[in-house]
Amino acid sequence: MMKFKKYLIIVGFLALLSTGWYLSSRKYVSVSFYHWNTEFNLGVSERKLIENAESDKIYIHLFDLDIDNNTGQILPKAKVNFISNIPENKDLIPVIYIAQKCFKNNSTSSLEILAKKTIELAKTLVPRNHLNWKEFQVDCDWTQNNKEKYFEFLKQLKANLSEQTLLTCTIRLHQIKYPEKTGIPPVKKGILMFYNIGNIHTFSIVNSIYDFETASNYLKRLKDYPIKLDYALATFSWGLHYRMGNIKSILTETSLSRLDSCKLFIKSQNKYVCTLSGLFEGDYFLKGDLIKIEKSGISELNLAAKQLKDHIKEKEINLILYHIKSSELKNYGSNENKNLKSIFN
Amino acid sequence: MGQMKIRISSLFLISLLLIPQKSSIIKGCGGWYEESYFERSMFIPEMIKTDRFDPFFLSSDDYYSPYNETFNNRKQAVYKTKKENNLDEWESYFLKLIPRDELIEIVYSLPEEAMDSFQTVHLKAIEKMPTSNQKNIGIFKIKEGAQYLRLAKQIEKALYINPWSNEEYNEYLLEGLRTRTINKYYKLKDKELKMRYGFQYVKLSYALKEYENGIKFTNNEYPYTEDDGSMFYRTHGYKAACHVKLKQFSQANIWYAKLYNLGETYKYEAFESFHPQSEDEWNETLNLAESDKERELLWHLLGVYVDPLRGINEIKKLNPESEYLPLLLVRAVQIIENQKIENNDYPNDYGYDGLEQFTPDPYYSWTSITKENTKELITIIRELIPYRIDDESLWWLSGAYLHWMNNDLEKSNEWTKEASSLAKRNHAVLLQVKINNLLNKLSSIETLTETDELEIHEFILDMDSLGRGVSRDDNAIKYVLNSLSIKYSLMDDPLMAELAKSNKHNYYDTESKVDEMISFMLSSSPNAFRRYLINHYSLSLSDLYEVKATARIYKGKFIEANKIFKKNKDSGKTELLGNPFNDRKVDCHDCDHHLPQRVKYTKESFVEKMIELIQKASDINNKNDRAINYFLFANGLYNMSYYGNARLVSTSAISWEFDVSDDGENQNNQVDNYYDCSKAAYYYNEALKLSPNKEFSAKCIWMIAKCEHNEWLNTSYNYNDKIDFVAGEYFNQFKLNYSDTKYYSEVINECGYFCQYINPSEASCIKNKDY
Repeated sequence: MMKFKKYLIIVGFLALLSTGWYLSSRKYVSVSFYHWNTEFNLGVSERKLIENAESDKIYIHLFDLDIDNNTGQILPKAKVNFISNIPENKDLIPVIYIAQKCFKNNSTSSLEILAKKTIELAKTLVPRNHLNWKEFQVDCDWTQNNKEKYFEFLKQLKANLSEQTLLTCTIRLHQIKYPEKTGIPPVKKGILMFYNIGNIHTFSIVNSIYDFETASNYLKRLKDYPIKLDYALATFSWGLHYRMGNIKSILTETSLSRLDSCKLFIKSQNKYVCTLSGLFEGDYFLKGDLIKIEKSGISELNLAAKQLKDHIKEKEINLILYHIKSSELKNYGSNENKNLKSIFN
Repeated sequence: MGQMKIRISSLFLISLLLIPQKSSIIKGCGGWYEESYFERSMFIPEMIKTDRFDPFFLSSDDYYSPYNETFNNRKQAVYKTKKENNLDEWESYFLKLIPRDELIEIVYSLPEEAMDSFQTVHLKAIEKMPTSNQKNIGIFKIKEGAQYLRLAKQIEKALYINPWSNEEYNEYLLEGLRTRTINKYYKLKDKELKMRYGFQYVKLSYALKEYENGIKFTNNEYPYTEDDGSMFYRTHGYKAACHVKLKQFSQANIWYAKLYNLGETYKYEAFESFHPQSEDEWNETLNLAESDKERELLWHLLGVYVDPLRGINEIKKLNPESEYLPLLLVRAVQIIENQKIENNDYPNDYGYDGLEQFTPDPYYSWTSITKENTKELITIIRELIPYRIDDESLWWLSGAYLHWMNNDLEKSNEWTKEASSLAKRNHAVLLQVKINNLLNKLSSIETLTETDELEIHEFILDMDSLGRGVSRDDNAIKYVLNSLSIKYSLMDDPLMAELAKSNKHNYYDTESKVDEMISFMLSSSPNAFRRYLINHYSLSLSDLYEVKATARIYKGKFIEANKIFKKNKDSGKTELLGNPFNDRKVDCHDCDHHLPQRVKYTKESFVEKMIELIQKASDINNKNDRAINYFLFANGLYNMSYYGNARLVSTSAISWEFDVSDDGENQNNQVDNYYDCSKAAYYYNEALKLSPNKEFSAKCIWMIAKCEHNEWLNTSYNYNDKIDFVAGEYFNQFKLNYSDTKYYSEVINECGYFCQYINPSEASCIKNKDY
């Protein structure tokens, strides 16, 4: 009897240990969305999406910063206009995109002014009850040629934000692979853009939005990246218009939905071949042009999550899906959300 | 997100007055400079008789610039800018009573408040005039003109939105202004001002999103035509923009086509606003056309915009004699040429510079016809020729050029001959005939013979005799020589290959190649063609002698170098920027270059001086000056090295002085021993041995220490170690043995590194480090 008790104690102790281990190794996963349209107008389905994903925040693109062709100055473009309310109890995370060509001949003082104006404009654009930002996100495809200017801009932005606001910025896979060249941005947290992986300039059979093989080439050093990361994953589709093997234009999801009814094309697997030259959706197609349909839907999303899982060190995993208005998310319900989260545990 | 910019047609800026957003081309330039299309093309679009369409020739810039690249003697219409046009109209409205400079101020700079004083001043001036009808008209025009300008400035202010804000238009304010404009419009009889008020009304309707109102007003209440002035274009431009906002693209596009056709000032904007969306909508546009002529115009625009072949085919059905065909023809040939013909001086090498460079551009028409369509285009040309009585030679030559690109030389020659008989005195046509002849000759060569060389030369001379055109004939010669260079290489004749197309930095890898070229240039045997190549070669005899002499200098063979310089009067005449015999405690090339120089040295006189110095220094009978002569000689060696003020000595036609890049190819171009300071150190040491006093010795030791340090920088320095000074043997000697010299204290004052080496904690030393 004594022996049995002893046995029970040992078993109980082991069970406790393993539960503790399980709890300590369990990862907390959150899912939220990017909103990237110039009109913030959430419909029922998008609100439902946020609810099903149990998101506590929404990342809203407020504007782009780009060189104005007429004046040569850096000016805001594509400013967001809030038509509908932000769902209750959800935090607004402002996101701005800045074109890398903005960083050429700027002095430190001009970057200081730019940063100040950026924050001021962001404040005027968002609803008044959403001014206490927990995070402010910057998206820029910086390179080794302009990293100094960009990083200085980030520092200046930080100086203009309140202490409670965490400054974050997007990080592309090539920046993870070659940090010695592209540098580490001066932020506490980055957002790895785990999509737009392939080269779209010339035609290839690989899915440029997300491709497992291509992505694996970039992941070896992910754990070594010195700053914490959130992960942006793709849920969208587009059409790439090629002529003589070179990219000509990009078709939006809305245009893709009209392709089948257009007599200029015939469908062949994931491609449309132009058989009669003509106009479609404001673009012109010559006989022989190709439209390659690329998508990253729920299955690609799950595959990307599985691939990422073994390479990330964070215990709190924030996933951000790009983007909330995509038709690729129309079947994303609470089950899909649970499934996505469970991949990490 | 991380968006590659997607250009969505519906987002295009459509207003005539708002300059459309142009995007950059697809490639991001990360390497070589790419020659513009006109630096490569051999086809002359100016064969078109009218210059009306010149800006729409294919060009690497947004538009072909009539100002920069006008074909010889071609009379270009100089288009007025919108601003010039507007000022001309104001000038005429004010009966030329207001000077132009003042008008510019009044119309474009001064605020609305200044209109009162403008009115007062000019009314006073007019009132002094004797009573006449003109005086009365003048008074009226000043009063009404000032009133209009006041209102226009108010409107401009009301329509300004700070891009860094979330502001929107004040609709009440705009509405009030619009009421004022329309009241004035109906009240006034003066046509010019009435047109301006009408324009403001449509502009404000657009801003107020009352698009239908703007369209209705223009169609029903605005009876003016293009002959009535620029307000016609601007008003109809806003009307078309209203159609776009209502997604009535057909109505918009037909108006953009009309505006493109009517005048020159607004042609670009009209073209840039032309954005057909779908085939159905395009058919509607064609149905809206009032005549076949207008349909020709529409197909012309679609051809320029996206599909020249379709444009030509459709216009051909409507009217094979159409004035809208030639531009489409030359654009089609140019586009095919750009795809088919390689004629670059430099390799194209584009590096990744971020995905955002990808910006598809609908105006970027480089592939709107593909090279696979060449035969189809030739067939169409042949069908059209019987109808092209006025510009037949253009069509023959375009076809001949296409035949040449298709390697059908027989047809190309035949068609060129047809054009030749029609060419008369049209310079562009005559030149294209000669270009075609030259190219056909080149392509007919199978094994290059001397006869071929001489014939090619004859063709080039024949082209020269015509008087040169703008770049296209030069490009043809470049193309021919590039092709011949390849042939020479295949014939294992690298010297001729180099002469035909120079690749001098790679070619001259040994001195024997330089000698061979010199012998070839000096020999009397080269035929006329080869002589032509020698005369046009980028290196002259003096350049080649200088290459040889420079190599000798860096081997320390100054006497030999001097002899080589003497072989050609132009050799070695490059003037040095500073005195190469100066020494500095801390090197500062700019300082030396700015110092006044009593004697200006050239490479040649530098060599002569070096010979003189070493001779004096070596002369054991010369007891007094040997040390100083050694020292000056060593200074010369120091300064001609990478570390000194006379790096220019190392420069020749195939080497350059400053290049310190990691690029292996460029490294090859540096002369040997360029980084070597040891020879200078050796002669400083010789000077030291004969030193007359301790001050002089200190100077010698310091210079040797500098050489030692340079050697360390060259071999052991590592940027990442963040150590940029290591004291070697001679710095130590200097510290231990010469601290009592004046020179020593001068060094401490000037050289921060040494100062800190002596006194590690002395903060004041830092100041000198910026050297």
